[in-house]
Amino acid sequence: MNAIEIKSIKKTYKDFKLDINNLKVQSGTITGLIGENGAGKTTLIKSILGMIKSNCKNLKIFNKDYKENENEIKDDIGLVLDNAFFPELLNAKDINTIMKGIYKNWDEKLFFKYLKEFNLSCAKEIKSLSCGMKKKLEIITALSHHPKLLILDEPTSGLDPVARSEVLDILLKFIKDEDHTVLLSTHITTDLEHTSDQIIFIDDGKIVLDEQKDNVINDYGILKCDHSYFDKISKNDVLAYKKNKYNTDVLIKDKERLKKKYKDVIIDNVTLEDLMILMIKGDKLS
Amino acid sequence: MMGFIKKDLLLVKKNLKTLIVIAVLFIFMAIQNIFDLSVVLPVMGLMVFISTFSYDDYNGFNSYVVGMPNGRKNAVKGKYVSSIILGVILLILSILIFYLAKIFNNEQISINDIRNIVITSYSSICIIIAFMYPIIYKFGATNGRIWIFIIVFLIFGVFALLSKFVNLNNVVNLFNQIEHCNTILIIIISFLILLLSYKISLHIYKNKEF
Repeated sequence: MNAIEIKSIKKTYKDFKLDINNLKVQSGTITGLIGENGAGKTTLIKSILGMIKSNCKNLKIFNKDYKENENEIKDDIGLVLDNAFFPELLNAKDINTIMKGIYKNWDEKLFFKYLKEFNLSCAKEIKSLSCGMKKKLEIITALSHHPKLLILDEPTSGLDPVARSEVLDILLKFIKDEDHTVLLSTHITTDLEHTSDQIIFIDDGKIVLDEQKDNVINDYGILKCDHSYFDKISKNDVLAYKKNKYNTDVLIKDKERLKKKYKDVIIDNVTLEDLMILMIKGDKLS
Repeated sequence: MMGFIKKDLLLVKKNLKTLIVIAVLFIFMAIQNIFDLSVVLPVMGLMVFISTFSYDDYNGFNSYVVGMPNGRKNAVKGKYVSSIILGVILLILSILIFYLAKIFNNEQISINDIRNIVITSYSSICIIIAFMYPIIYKFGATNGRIWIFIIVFLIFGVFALLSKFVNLNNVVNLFNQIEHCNTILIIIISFLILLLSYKISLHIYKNKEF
């Protein structure tokens, strides 16, 4: 089953166009939405949630038409947005009081259990929390009405490694339930390497890659060769390349086959960061 | 909707100090027999309430609202209901202060005096909300204030200009007569103006992008 299914979604600004076709987020997975800043990740999330007006066709969440079942669906979505939360004068206790009156499934006990687990103060105003603590509070708030789908926009941006790891641990705990799904937008690709199941890579408003993460790691590679060897490589094997001072990095797919084809050179495993950099900044042969 | 009402009232509670200062000033004025200022407490309280729009804007709460079930509708409804709740609380407080001030000054209290306070305060609250909220929803808390200032300035400008050519005494008298109108009628008219304002605000907010 797909947690999110979109036939097409289009949004045009003066200098940017989001043009997404056939997007599917499988239920029970952590799907990483990656891309550089301004690639359209937040615009896509905002379009899905109706924060901005877009031309959206056949948006289904949990197999239900979003327009027809919007409120029912929103009851099952937990949100962590970039720079959007409760007014900073409020504290966790206030948030509990407020959310009880908004979500029918709000679980007060669970909320306070999470607060205790993550050493967050009930009485401290949001403005006096550190960046990591605030983000944890945002995630806890999003989880405390038992959502089936968690949408997070840049949840680890600006956090130190320890806080980032804690945030990712929360997501991994959440996803243990097979009914739960996470759509995580980030430009910090290392966050996804150990957590995500599916990768959707957006560049300049379009999906340029939509694959299982394991497939990406297993299939893609970086062929490292000198400049003269690069000319011997078949054009069809080169997805993107970057000429450095002494060698050329070539992004290739079907790593195992090409390892046999190009025996004289090293083909390294690709990280999501390498993949992103080469696909965005690398040159293309055709 | 209850959640949004609680959120706004909690934010007002955080600004309680400002409200207390206003209340103290009001008590002083009431003791000095400045009855015409009975409307000050609810109106100033409303001004404190308007800061909740700024907090929402500043912290991106409006984006967050859109992700909630019935978020846009309940957020607007919550703003109107919570500001009326606050207005009514402050109105009751005004009457109480007025009553105590009369006792303090050894003066008689007439039902008519209290009725006048209720009518002027209630209609002022409704008209201020009805006028300001759609503008704030349209332009945001910061720009909205500038637009409110411009619009008020324009209205006064138009009246000042018209007064040079037309006798506006009748219009001024009309406002002065408001206290003598039927209480129920005033309450109903004020409520209808507020309802119209709510519909406009909701339309603006539902079509707004965050």
